[in-house]
Amino acid sequence: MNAFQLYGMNVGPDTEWETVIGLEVHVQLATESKIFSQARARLSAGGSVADEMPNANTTPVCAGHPGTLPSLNQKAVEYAVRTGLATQCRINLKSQFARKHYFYPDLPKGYQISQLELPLCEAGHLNIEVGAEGSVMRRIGITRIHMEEDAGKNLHRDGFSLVNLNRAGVPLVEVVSEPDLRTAEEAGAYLRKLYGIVTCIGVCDGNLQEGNFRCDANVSVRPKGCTRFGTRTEIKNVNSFRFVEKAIEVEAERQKQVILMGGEIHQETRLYDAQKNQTFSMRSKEEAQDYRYFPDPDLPPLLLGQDWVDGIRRSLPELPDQKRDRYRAEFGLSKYDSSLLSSSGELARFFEAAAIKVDYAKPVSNLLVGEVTRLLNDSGLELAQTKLVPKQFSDLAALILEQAVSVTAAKQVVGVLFKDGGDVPTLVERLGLKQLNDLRSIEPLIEQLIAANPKQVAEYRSGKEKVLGFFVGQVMKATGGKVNPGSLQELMIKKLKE
Amino acid sequence: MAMNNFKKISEIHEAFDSGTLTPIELVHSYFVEMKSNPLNAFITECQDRALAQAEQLTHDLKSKYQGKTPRVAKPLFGIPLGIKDVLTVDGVRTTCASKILEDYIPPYTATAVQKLENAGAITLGKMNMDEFAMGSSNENSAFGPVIHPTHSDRVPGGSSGGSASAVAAKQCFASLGTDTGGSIRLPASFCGIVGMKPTYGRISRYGQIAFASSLDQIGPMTQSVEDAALLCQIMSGEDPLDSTTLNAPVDDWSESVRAEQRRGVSGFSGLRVGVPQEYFIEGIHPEVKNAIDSIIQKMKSQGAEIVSISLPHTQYAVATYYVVAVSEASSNLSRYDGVKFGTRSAAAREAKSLEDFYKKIRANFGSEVKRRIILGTFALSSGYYDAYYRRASQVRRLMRNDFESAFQKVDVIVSPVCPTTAFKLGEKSKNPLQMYLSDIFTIPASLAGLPCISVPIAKDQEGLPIGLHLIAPRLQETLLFKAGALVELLVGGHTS
Amino acid sequence: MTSKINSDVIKKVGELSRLELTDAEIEGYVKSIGDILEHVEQLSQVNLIGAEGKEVEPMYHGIDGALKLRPDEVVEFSKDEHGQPKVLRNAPEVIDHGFKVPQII
Repeated sequence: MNAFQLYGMNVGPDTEWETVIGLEVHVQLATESKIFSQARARLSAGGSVADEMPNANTTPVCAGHPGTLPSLNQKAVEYAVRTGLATQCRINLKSQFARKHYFYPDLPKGYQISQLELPLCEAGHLNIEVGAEGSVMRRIGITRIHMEEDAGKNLHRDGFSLVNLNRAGVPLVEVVSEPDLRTAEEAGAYLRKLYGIVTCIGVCDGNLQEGNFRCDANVSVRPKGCTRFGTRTEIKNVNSFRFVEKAIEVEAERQKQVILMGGEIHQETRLYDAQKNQTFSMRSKEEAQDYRYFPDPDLPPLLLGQDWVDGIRRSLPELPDQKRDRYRAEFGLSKYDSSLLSSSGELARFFEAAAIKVDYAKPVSNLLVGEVTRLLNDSGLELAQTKLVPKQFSDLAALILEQAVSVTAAKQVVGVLFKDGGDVPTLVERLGLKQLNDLRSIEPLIEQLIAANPKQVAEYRSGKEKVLGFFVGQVMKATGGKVNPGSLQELMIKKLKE
Repeated sequence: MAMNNFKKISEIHEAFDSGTLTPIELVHSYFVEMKSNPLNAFITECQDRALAQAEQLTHDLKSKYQGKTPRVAKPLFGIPLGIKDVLTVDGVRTTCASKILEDYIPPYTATAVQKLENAGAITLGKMNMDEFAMGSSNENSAFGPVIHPTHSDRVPGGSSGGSASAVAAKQCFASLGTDTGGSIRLPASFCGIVGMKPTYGRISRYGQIAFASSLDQIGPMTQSVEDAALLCQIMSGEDPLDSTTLNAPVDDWSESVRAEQRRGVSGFSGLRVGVPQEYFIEGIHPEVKNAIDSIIQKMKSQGAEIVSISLPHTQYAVATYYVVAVSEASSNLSRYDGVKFGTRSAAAREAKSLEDFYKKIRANFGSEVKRRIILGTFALSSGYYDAYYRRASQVRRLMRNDFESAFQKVDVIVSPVCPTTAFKLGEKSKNPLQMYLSDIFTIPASLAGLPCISVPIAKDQEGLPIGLHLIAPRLQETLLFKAGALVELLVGGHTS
Repeated sequence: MTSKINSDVIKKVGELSRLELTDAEIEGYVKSIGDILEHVEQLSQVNLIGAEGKEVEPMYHGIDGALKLRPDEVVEFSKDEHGQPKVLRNAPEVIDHGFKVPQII
């Protein structure tokens, strides 16, 4: 391949490339009613959109009936302002709703009420930590956060489609980042941080499966050192953080290959296919969009008082970064564990409700970061969808600290609680997991073992200390792992040396 | 006297009280008149619904109210109204005079209509109009043109043509119209009745099918200024469902009208009446001009102070209005996609692609509506927005400022409603721009959101009515109705 | 000004607004919309710089006030007496409580 010019730079096989990423995140606000109508916006806890009767949460306003008008939900404004304040944005005391026009069956009025020229929030940022142990901090700019209404959903059937408008009009904020992100890892860290913030400040339910937090990624590549941006593509609606990272990686690679093969990148919308791990173009025919934005004549400018905004600022809870620092300082948790626990409002609230005593924090954290995270990942469930409650973890922490259960046994309890729920003391009793601390009752068992295995005893006595493990293992096996391992080891050594 | 020959609500209530008339007899008489004189003023007659309402009221009058009309609790008790078919009534077909809404049955009632029915009014039917209220002659209806009440070769004016023609021809006692650039005032003037548009934001637009949202207002069309005031005060008030309604006190305007009329034409004394020099330009029909000049002279002779004023941006009014109105309209009419409501033709059912489907559905718009959608889409499109929509919105501000300066010097402004009297069917329908120019006197007040009224003052040689247009400052309905009442008194009573 | 409007522009805008236009309609709109835009052209003569040298603020709304806010309360509208979503009543074609449309690719 010959070298050629791209964006005023020489490009060849040895060129180092850089990916430029900007993210647009749609966050559904957890209000009771919709943004512009009094229809129900939010399902009861644990409810699923899929279980609702289509179009049952749809009023004439949501369906865009002739003669209907929008009326703005105060809570939605408050939540949007909270989001802006928590991401260090400037709150515009005057903002304006605008109509964005396009025809699509899930858009009942033929336009979406959004904001263009005067968005509610501008010029914020958030800090992300990347690299080994999160050692590198990067500040990512937030261009704007504006309010808008969600669209409905199209269901595809054989030969036709069906429109369900229950989601139409659910309040959204769109958080638009600067093109400051350079790697898929950074994009993932940004998303996790933003997710942590909106769930922590209570404006979003954070259910990824239900589409509460959705991401579009703008991706382009350029030779490293180039100051111009390359032509970007937009990857739409990827709703897991891991898939966003993978989609960005494969899309950047695709763009590089296209360029190196002498091709051109077209500004277009692409979808990510997780199974094939590749992106593909959404439209064959590239249709020129013209959204014809103009200020919505039904909605005068939104004017906010500085006092009101200040009141919201004062009411903001501790943010994830502050939580993380406090967990480290107050509980002595590791950086990794405290970051993870503060990464979602739900998890942080759960942790804090369980760690009611300072010394509970470590055992609770270990169980949440280890066992619970693993169970959640394997099952694809959200914490709220499980039978876990903080009290169970306080109880387990107390038992671990009293050495009444082993850490291994505690993990086993968590596994059962996760599926079936229940009360920790009862479960420990039922499963017979109470740790045996008084070893007098098992002395006969130990003596029996020593008598039955003279060869191993001889080996131990000749200095092969590894054999100790064999004896301890046998006792654990016979007692179902209930024996306090420290005490057992001590006793075993004593008996073997006798 | 024919049973439907009442001119004032108070006359009807007196007849109820005297036992010579019941709501049900009154409603019947209007349906008889409606059927005997085909003006095509109604799109949908609500005979069963109206008779059921009337029956209930007749029963209540006897038993609940002991034969005494409850004027305070229900000021419109038993008053039969026509509702322009742009306003929704729960369960009653509402078409907006468009094929695209031919079968639309709204699941809710417009706030304004609800307030009138709560006050005892009876809905006789849904009135014909220009499709989506786009027109000045009522020739743009998918249900055919409305006929002028007295001259069958003439248009009644539009877009509230059915509402105007029916009141003039006594097919309903009063009616509701809607006005975006003159759609109440022009047909009221052409048909010789009172038509009033309140300050923008006075009356909730919830349930008014939108044409141009920042201009649309509902208003009464009546046989007297007093009744216009009464209907207006009942409909006015803040509505949580319409973010553009105003939180402003609503006075008893009908009582102000009665007080003024009791006092007599001496009320003109000291009233400062502005006459915009820009309004008396070439193109005004001489008979219209004479009628206006003559009434101004009469006002002066009764003590009014006539002040020549200037509204320097008047010449840009029609251009400004059409850019703003069609832009908003093109957006408002995007919702007619045949998915959630509306008629779905066989062609649309068979459409293979979404694009094709939309086009088949939207083929049901009439040609004037399509013209305005195209014009509006163009004015909002990328590259043209600043030159058209934004610029027009800036000129609109200047026009409003013109009025604000003028109202420093005068209490009300007068002008013709239209440069001509009712023109002939087909006379302007081939030339949209000429048609648009008939709104030249009504448009400026619409752009500025001001309250205004058309009061019949004379007739031309052919017997066609001429109206006087009065404009007051924002929220000064009291002043507007007072001036309207005095003009009415000056020309000798109510309508001709 | 009229040069801005030709049959291609009308066709393009027709596409954007999902209107299917016949050749005769296009020809008619080129003429009538051209006339109207010619009349509108006079807006370019208006001086939009105010006394303080600032551009005139566009008037986009019929009222001056600020947007009013509504409390976050749900009002049930959802179902009719048969337990069916009320908004489906006017729908031309309904399947499984969904509005039926042609296949969306």
